[in-house]
Amino acid sequence: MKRLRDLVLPAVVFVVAIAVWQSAHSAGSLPRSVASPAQIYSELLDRHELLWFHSRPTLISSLWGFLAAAAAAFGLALIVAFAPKMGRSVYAAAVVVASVPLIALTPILVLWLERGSAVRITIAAIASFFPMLIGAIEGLTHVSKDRAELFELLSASRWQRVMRLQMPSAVPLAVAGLRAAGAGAILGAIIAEWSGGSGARGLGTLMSTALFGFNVPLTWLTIAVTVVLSIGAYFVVSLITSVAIRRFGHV
Amino acid sequence: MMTADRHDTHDTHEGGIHVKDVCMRFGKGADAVIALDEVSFDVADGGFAALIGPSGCGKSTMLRLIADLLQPTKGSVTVGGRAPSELRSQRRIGFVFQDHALLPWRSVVDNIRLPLQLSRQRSSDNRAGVSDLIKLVGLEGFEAARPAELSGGMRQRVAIARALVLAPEVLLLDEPFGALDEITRQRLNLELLRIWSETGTTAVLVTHSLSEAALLADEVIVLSARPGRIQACIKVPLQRPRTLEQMKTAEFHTVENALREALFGEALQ
Repeated sequence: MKRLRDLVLPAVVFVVAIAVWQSAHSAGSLPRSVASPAQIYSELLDRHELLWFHSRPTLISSLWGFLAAAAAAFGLALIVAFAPKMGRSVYAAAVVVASVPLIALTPILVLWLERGSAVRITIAAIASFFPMLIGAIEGLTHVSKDRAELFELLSASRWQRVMRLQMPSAVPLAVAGLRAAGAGAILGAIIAEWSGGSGARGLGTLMSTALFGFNVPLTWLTIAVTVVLSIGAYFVVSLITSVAIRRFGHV
Repeated sequence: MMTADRHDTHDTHEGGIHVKDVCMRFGKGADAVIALDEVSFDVADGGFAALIGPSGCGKSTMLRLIADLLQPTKGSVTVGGRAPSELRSQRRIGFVFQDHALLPWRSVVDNIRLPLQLSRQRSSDNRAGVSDLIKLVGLEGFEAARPAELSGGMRQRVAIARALVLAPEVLLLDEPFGALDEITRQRLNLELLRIWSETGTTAVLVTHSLSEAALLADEVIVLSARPGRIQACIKVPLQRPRTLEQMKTAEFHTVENALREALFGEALQ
């Protein structure tokens, strides 16, 4: 019953919002740069092959970027777990990386790596890196005091402590970081494409082509698809990691 | 009333716990807090002592000094004639934490096995068999359960079994039943006595319950707060094995009243 209500309420809000949007558009009270839901829908029916053609490489690059960032974030977090003094430096470096304007970084990377998937993957990785790193480090370093004392009492080695206590304890926060990072990877890939980092194919390329060609419905369609993919990334990551949460989730 | 200077008749007996002139200070300078001040007491080999006192009296700190989780600012602690650090490195100290400190991702049996794994002993040559321990603490049938599936009392049973799996020389218990309801608590008190008498280990219990201290211990060490000093050491002359029936006797009430007097002193008059 409660689950049903959890689904019904957002659905109702969504439908009402669409209806308001559509009627505002029909009444002419929205600027010409805003497409109506009906226009976006018919654009989807007409152009779904083109949309898939452009979305596929974006998705694949987002996935690679996400995985590369996860590997880097967990690797760094493990280094911090074994050498806690490194914590501050790693944090500082990560904040700097997370603050770099990605839109300016893309042209620089294009000169370095040449136009193509590598740039898109790199930007997707940078865009999704920070929440994963924070989740992993916080998870690894915040162990309950009693459990930490237990391992000290048992003269556990640092290796045993990390492997048998810190890593399992880190799972919930690390997973929260992964979930938050999923949408970031997709947005990062789109930013790279948008600023010309990956050639002719890509959702971001399609978006900028539509935008500069004054194709209002197609622009809005690409925006809608981006939103759906980002939400989808969140749910896919949640679904995959739910196994880990069930195994290591805390009492 | 009995006095605190029992250690004047220091026995040369090697076993048991000897705490001599222990001071514990946290912090430095003006911010320093003296948690324990000139604390001395002995626990006989195979004996059962209880530490009781108001919060801030340093009773948990005292337990951590015996466990070598903290080192005293001054004074000495020995267990069976050896330094706590030596005992800890040999993993001969059992500790039961207030909030069980079980690993939630491990089953009951894997939680109990943890000390064996950390000391790289194979389950086959552990000093007290895991399955015997599970029987001893009454958890048969729950071997595969996760801590989340157990009641508070059962979690503490697992914690006790884990503390005993390496057959420790001392068993230290830090308010292990503090979060439990009175009925579960009394039942576990009796179980703890049975387990303690079957293993023959020396036990020190930190508690804030007068009746728990009187029911379990041979001797109750009463501490005062800020700084933690020994107010009294009160022997419990009740026969063993102890029963809940004894809690109704005049003897028991005499002990409880002596504890109350030591704790509250003039405030009672």
